[in-house]
Amino acid sequence: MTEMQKISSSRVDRRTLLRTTGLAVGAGALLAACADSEGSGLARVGTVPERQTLSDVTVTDVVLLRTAMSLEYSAINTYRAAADAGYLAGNSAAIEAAGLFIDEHQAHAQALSGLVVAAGGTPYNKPNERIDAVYIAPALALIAESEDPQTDTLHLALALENLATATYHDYVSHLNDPALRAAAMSIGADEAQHAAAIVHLWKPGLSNVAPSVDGAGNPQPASVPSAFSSLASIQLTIGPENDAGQKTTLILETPSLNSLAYED
Amino acid sequence: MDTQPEELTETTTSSRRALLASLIAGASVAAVPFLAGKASAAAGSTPTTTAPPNRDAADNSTLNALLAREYAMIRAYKVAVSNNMTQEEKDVLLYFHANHIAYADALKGYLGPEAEGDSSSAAVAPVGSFNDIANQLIGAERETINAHTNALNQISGIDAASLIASIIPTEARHITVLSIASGQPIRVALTN
Repeated sequence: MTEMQKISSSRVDRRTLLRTTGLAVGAGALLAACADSEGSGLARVGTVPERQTLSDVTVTDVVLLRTAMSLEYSAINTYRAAADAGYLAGNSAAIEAAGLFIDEHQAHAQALSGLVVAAGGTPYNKPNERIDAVYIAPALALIAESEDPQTDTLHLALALENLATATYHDYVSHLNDPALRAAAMSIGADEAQHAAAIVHLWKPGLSNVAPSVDGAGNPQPASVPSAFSSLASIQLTIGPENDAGQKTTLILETPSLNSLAYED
Repeated sequence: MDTQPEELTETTTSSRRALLASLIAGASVAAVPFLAGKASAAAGSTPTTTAPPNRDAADNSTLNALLAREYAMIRAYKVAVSNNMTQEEKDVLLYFHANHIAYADALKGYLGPEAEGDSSSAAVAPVGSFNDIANQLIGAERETINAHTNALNQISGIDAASLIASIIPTEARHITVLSIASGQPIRVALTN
């Protein structure tokens, strides 16, 4: 290619570029004219979705008490679902204990309801939707496919009672009113007693009071798992075994900002 | 196997329920100023409620009382394990004894130089069969839990309240284990 041809080719490229740019600007102007002209007044191409902002929420003592109520109802429903499905069939001690736990959870919900009303709030008389959706429904689905639904049900019950204990323990650092902290721990102590009783139903005798492991090194349930109550996440390993002989592990954590029972 | 005296069961049942009822009643009364604070905030004025402090020196006397109670429980378990029992039963009591030592250590650590010395006597001096010993320890554990729970009504510092809250559930578990180990049915164990 001669020097002149190179220059000519270069000019054509520049012209093409200018022509293309002009076309794009014209098309943009046309689209902008067709677009919704409300808003900032600045020209723009197409429509932009409205910005979604999170609503302002305040975690008050009432919100925490309502959330505690929701956990109580979630526990009640779980025990009832397990009983209705027959997962505890043949274990009269476990069936009787489940009935006692239901009665106590109902008493807790009633007591919490009184506290909510006294604080000017509206009682939350239903289960916690998110806890149900994320933990309980998947757990019950796994138990339905389990080779040992009774043991898995006891494991789920233990996990839920430990979760409730941890929730009340955690609330003490969030509740403003000292009297409510005392009331919360009075209920939290009951939940801890449920957990200890479930371990006895699962593994009777004194060998499972303190933490221990089985012959394969797997941690065993303990009535008194540690000196101090734990706020750590709770592992729940249940359901059918996969090809590798492993069950599914769910990780349960105390209610957080996305699972609190806010007031409307 | 010893039989749990009916009188004892009734007493502990009523005291446990009485504790919850009194706490609920107390919390309802205490909610009134809280409500007033909310109302003033809604009206646009400055809220009257303030965030609780992390630590408050005014809590020290209450915490020292709880420390004294833990010393008394340590002594109670020390007396308990000096009785005749199986090694498995003794191991359980020694585990609970160690837990109470941990609580005393935690309270001492929190109080630092403000911690008072150990001048308490045993909360109970259990004797007899394992079931007798367990029943006496159940009563002592319940009194300890009640002391801790009532203390939460008075403690204003969040750190101290959280520490006490981490102790209460385990002491409640002690009660259930002792109840079941001494032959009580679960429905009774849950009301202790």
